[in-house]
Amino acid sequence: MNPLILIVDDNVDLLLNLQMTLEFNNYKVLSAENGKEALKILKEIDYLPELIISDIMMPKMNGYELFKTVSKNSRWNSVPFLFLSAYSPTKEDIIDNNINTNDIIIKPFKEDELLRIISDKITMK
Amino acid sequence: MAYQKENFREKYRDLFEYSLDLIYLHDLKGTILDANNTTLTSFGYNQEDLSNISFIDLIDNEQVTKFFNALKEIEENGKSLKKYVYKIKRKDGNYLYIKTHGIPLRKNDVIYAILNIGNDITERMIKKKTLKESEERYRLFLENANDLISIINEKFEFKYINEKVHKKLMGYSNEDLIGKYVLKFIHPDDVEKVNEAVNKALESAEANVEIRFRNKKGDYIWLEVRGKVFFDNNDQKGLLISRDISERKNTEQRLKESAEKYRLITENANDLIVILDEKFKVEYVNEQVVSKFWGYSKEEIVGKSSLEFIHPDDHKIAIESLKKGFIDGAGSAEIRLKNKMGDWLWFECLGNIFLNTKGESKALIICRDVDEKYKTNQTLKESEEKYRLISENANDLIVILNNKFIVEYVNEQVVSRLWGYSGKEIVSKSGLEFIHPDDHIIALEAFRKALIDGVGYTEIRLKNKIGNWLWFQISGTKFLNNKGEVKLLIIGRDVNERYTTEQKLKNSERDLKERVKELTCLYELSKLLENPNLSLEEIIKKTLNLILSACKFPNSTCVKIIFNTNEFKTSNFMETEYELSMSIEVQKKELNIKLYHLDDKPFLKEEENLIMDIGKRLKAIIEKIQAEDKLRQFISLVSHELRNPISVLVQTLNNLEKYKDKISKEMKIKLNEALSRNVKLLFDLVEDLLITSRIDEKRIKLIWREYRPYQIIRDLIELMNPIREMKEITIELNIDKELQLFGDYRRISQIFRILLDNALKYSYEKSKIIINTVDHYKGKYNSQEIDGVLFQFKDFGLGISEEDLPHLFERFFRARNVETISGTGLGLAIAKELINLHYGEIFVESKYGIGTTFSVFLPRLEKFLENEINGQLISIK
Repeated sequence: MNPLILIVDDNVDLLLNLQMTLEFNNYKVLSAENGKEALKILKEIDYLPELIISDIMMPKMNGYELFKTVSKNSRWNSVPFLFLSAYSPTKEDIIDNNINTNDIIIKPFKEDELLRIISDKITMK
Repeated sequence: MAYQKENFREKYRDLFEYSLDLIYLHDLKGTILDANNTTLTSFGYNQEDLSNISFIDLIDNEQVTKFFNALKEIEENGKSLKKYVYKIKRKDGNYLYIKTHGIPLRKNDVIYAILNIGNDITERMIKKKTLKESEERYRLFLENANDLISIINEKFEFKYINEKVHKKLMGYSNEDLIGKYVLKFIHPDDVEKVNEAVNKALESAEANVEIRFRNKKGDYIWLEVRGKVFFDNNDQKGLLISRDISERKNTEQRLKESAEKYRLITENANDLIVILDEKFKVEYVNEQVVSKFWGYSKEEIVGKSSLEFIHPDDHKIAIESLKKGFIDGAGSAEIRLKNKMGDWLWFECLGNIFLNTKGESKALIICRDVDEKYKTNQTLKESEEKYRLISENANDLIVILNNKFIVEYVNEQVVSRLWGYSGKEIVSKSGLEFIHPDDHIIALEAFRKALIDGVGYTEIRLKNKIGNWLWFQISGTKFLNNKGEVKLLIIGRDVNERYTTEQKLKNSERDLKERVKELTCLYELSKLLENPNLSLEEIIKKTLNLILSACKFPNSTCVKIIFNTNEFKTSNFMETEYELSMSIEVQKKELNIKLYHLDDKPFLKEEENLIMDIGKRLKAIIEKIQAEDKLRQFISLVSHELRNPISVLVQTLNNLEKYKDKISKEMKIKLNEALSRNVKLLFDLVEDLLITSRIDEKRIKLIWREYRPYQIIRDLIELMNPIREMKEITIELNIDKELQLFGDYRRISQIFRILLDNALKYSYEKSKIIINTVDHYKGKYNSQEIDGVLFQFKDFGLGISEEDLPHLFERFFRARNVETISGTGLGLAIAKELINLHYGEIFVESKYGIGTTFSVFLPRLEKFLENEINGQLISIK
């Protein structure tokens, strides 16, 4: 069965492309436009995704808040988390949000690189 | 034949009674036979007197001959050939003149009496006589006057001259001048003057002129001629009275020559020479001197009050000596006069009073520059005064000792003021009495040395009145007084003061060291500012230690810096009651520096200043770091904003190419749409950045034309439809579709896009955005009170906190509650700038969590020409 990935980004065009890329590479994809929507999906689905890929700056609930909420949730905290961001987080962001710098992919990214990281992340799990 | 009175009277009654003429009869001997009343009244007799008087009695001897000649004439010719005038002696002794002629009365051809008819001509005679006398007098006067008197006719010919005077003065007799042309005798150079005088005389009946008149010898004589025009039997004539003024003229000439001489003297003199009138007004000044030494031109002085040039403090003395001078004839004063440059110079002024030709009193004043002298004297005086003052007020003790160490003189003032002794208490006593016993030997040694070598020095203790020993530095100089006795002049300086000064010096050295510590601290602080690698926290931590090192007692001082709720402390920090603190606002946040002394010591004023200084510098550092942060943030935002569409483009292009066989047609369309949407987004973003930089460089140029706001807003709503639909927001647009304004379509569109974009971004889902317009709006959003349109964008969304509201239009500013919503922080700043370029205004009102309204007022601008837009509003409808 194809691994399920939850992608979260307020940029619908990017979301569309990402979904397409992942699907053509044998992933199953769920998409949300912000953190709150992502949480809603997580709550609704019966089985957890193999990976969550989230943008950082989003309305309603940003990527950090989503990560925090997911990390705190005993059911979801096992799901690996990747950030997909247009800007490099500051030192403070990383420290305050307890983020592994390797888990951040900076936009724009190359498809191959993204797929490699995703694959690594899922395998490592 | 006798006169028969009754018969005669009867015959001539009327004649006798009523005639106003004198009628009287006398016989051939002159006996009055009869007379009418007029005659009686005139002669002063009455009827009864008649029989006793003879006509001969009434006249004097000289007239008797005339009387008999008249009788004889009548006898010979039978009538009187002419009238005779008689002087009659009246009864009262007065005289009257009668003019009468006789008519013979005959009887039988024999004349027996004469009837006389006459009249009283006394009055006429008196007048004639007076006239004659007067004429005589005038004649005498004319003939004997010293003035030349002549009458000329209209043809300028002499008609009359007082010959005697003319003869005497000019050598002319009547023959020489009468009938001659006047101008022939006048000096050719003076003819013009004569003509002028004649014209004047014709106008105003008289005139004066001074001319040269040729005398018989051929010399020209100066005459002052007064002419008067008069009429003589309708002929216009001129009466000329001329006076010989040769002497005066010569004197004048001599005077002129002499004046010229004096002028030369005065002009070339080094002394200032001034003539003043009685009102102290300058009438003359020797120009050369005044301009050479004083810098004034003559015009700048003459006619002005001399007081203008006199020092105000010297006005009194100047006025007094001038007044006195005008009374006594001479005076002097030393006063300060102002030169052109405004300097006051001392002058010694000597004045003499003289009368000018008009008899007016004038003061001739000669002023000598004694400034140098005066100032030297002044300096000398001051110098003497100075020495006196020095001696009396010196802090040095001045003593004269004789060769037996006995005090002969002491400067009492100093001694009493500084030492408490009176002169008497010291003079005549041995100097040793006042010297500390331990210092006696060195004092005496120095004394001996001075007597031998001429000078000697030492430092000894002297006792003051209250018994304190004070250190004195003593110098002694040997001298001989006028009796040839050896004396020693001792100058003693209280060096206790010096010790204090030395102490002070030490203190100031210490202060200086402190200051160096402070400066080092400030220097280190400024170095921190230059280090780009330090974070604010690191800087504050380093500042803590810098403050400690600058404190007077670094080991017993501790420091705490509080900024934006973060506290930084030195390791030894402990609050005590000895606190020194400063507080300064940095970007609306409080920066607090607190110092505590661990020992119970107060802080120094210097330390307080230092802390203030450090606070200000720290503020500057924080502001710089925050500005840099803002810039960094901005760059990061910009890059984020750029990265998003770029990543979409990269991904889309990648997908379109890599999976072209797998992608459905439908999906391809979607991807193409995404491509164009993001290209546009990139374009807009770059545009925003461009505008920002253009606004900064003032390079933005508007293209003015008419536009319809409705069309712009409608297009924008359509453009933003995807977002609107996503958030399920409804937009209510209230605008007159036909409303037209003048401005730059593209910029206006940008303004509205920014506002609409914000409204959509920050609105709650399923809420409403209301866009209202008010044409010809008047009110608080139209502060210039000009015609225009108000646009209001009202949303129901996050709102803006009160704290953030004032910063909303600042560039890069982003409200805290929208940090996660993408935006460059440029939009509103750009909108405001663009609105300003349209001479409009923008206002914001917001309630946190409820919603925000932006009000944009755009004035109705008319007929703008592109090249006339130089930031200047040309006209407003």
